[in-house]
Amino acid sequence: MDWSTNLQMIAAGLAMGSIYALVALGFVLIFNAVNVVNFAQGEFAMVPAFVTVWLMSSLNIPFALTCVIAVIFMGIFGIVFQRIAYYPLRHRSFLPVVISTIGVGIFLKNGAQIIFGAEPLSMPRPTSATALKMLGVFVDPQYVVVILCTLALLGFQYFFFEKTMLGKKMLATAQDKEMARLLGIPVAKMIAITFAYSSILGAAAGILVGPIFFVTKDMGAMLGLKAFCSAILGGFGSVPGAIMGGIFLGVIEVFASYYISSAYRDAFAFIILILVLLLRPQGFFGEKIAEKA
Amino acid sequence: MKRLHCIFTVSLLSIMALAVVGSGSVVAAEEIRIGFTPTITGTHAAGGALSVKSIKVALKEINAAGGVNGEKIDLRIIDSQSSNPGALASLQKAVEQENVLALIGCLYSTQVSATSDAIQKYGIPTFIGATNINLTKRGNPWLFRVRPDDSVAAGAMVKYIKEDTKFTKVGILHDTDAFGTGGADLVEKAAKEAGLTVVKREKYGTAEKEFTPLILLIKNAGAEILILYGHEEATALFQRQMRQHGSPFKFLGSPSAASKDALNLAKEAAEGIWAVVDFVPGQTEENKRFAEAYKKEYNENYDSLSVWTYDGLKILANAIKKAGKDRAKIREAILATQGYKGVQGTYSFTPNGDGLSEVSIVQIEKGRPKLLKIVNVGAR
Repeated sequence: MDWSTNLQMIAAGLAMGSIYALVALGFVLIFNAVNVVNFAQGEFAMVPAFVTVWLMSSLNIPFALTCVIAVIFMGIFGIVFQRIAYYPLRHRSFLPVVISTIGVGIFLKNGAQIIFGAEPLSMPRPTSATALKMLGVFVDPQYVVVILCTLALLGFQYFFFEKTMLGKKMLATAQDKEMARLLGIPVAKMIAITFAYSSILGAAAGILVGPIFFVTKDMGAMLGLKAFCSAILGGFGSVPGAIMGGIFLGVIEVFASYYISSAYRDAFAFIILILVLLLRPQGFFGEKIAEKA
Repeated sequence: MKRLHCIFTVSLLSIMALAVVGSGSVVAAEEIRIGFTPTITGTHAAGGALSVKSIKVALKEINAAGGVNGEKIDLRIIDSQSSNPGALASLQKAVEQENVLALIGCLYSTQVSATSDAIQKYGIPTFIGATNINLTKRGNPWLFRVRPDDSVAAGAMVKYIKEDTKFTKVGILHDTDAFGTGGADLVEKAAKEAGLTVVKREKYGTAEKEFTPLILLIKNAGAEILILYGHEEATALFQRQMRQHGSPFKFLGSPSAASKDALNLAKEAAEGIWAVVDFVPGQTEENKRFAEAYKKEYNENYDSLSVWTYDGLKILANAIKKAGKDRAKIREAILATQGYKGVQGTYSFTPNGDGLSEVSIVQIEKGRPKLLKIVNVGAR
């Protein structure tokens, strides 16, 4: 139990957790806005990662510009996704929409394989590959970038929803569509913007993890599943819950892998999920009421 | 109706009798028929096509040099369809319809397992490229393996650590799938036999991304060298992250660590790591000669995983040259092949029918595997 080992793992866990949190946030925003779970959320991170690799390696576009293009692309992508997978089914119940998002997810995954091939691609690193030595532990500079970017995005999100009119309209739509419509808020537009925003969050996650891991068609499935767990842990629908859930999951995984068993690392996420569902079904930050009125 | 039935039975019996007589005369005159059952269709179609290219180089060379004892080799290529039923059907077709004298069989362990009993029943010499260690240990005298089996790589890794390095504390890390677990079992067994200490053995799921806990576990256990049995993506990721932790131990990887895919992914993180490979292109004169012949024929570089078909047909032709067209004598001649210099390495058959007992340990230098040592683990 030496502290440098533990510190080392906390750093890795925080970075993984931040990524889970970003993707989980996408889940939560869409859930709040339209009351469905978007199971293609993981693919929202996979698609921009491929786009980024392709822009950088095939067209030699510099990293900063690539990020801008990927973010714009994902914004449009989110709106198109919403139009195809959600809008035609908006008056139907929860299940058809969920299945439709699963379908689009499968389509995206296989589409990526057809376009970019089955081999994993490596994304050029914007940061140095040499680890930083901080407090006696090695930290990948990209991990620091991941954590800082997540914090910045959270700050932006807080500002956006609390201080801007657009953000407030989106919040109002999420809280009560009928009431928002009566007040003259263009509900359909707000929902489209929510999808765009949540797919931009995916873009951030994809671009941030791409250089650490490799870009594969399956990367979204792993991210999506873990983020879904995070969101449930935190209390589905709760923004701080999603963030805390993600970070909690990231740190727990790393420690369980070291102290208990590395082979069953992925199982721990789900064991904790089951425990939370049994003992505290509303999650850490969830409201006691299961359904919003 | 009864009469019709009678006629039918009689004709059926006579066809069967003909078939028995027919299979008695194994080979048509003036040529030696050899069967080859690659995976031309199905999942492994790409590899199958490459193996056809390799074997055709051998066929051309043998026939251009006047064939075997004055008779040309007639190679019958029959699709084994990348499946077990396909492999069995192709074997039956080769033996019963094409009347081949001997076979260059399958590359995949599962296909060899599926056809092993039938091969034994037919009593037909069959060359295989599959590497599961048990295939040649089930008492089938007709299988001849022309690739190093899985235990050779494991044995060679341990032998190299023992004899050529000062390391004694070994860590083992492996994928949880059959390939990783099987490889790690063999390494652990060999390491214990060689008197090395396995300080830590850990495993991970194929999709693992974050190796920090594993690197720390292995480092804290005091491992001087790590043997990793895994697939390309995880191997490359591990190398990157290991480097970020200041490379606390030496890295020796399974064959996938030196594959083109893994090297492309790991890039500079792979520099200086060790890996075990079947052979290094250009490591022997015979290998260079084959590479040139192949390039001249197809204007591209050969595929390492297909070369066994070339070596197999060459060894078979030599055996037929000595033994004639008697299958039992051909078998003895193949087993008597010792010190034959092939493209993949030097073949010395064991009584089990394992032809290759050597692999190469390489170091990655400027993104390419460089030969450190050819390690022969001897007869097993």
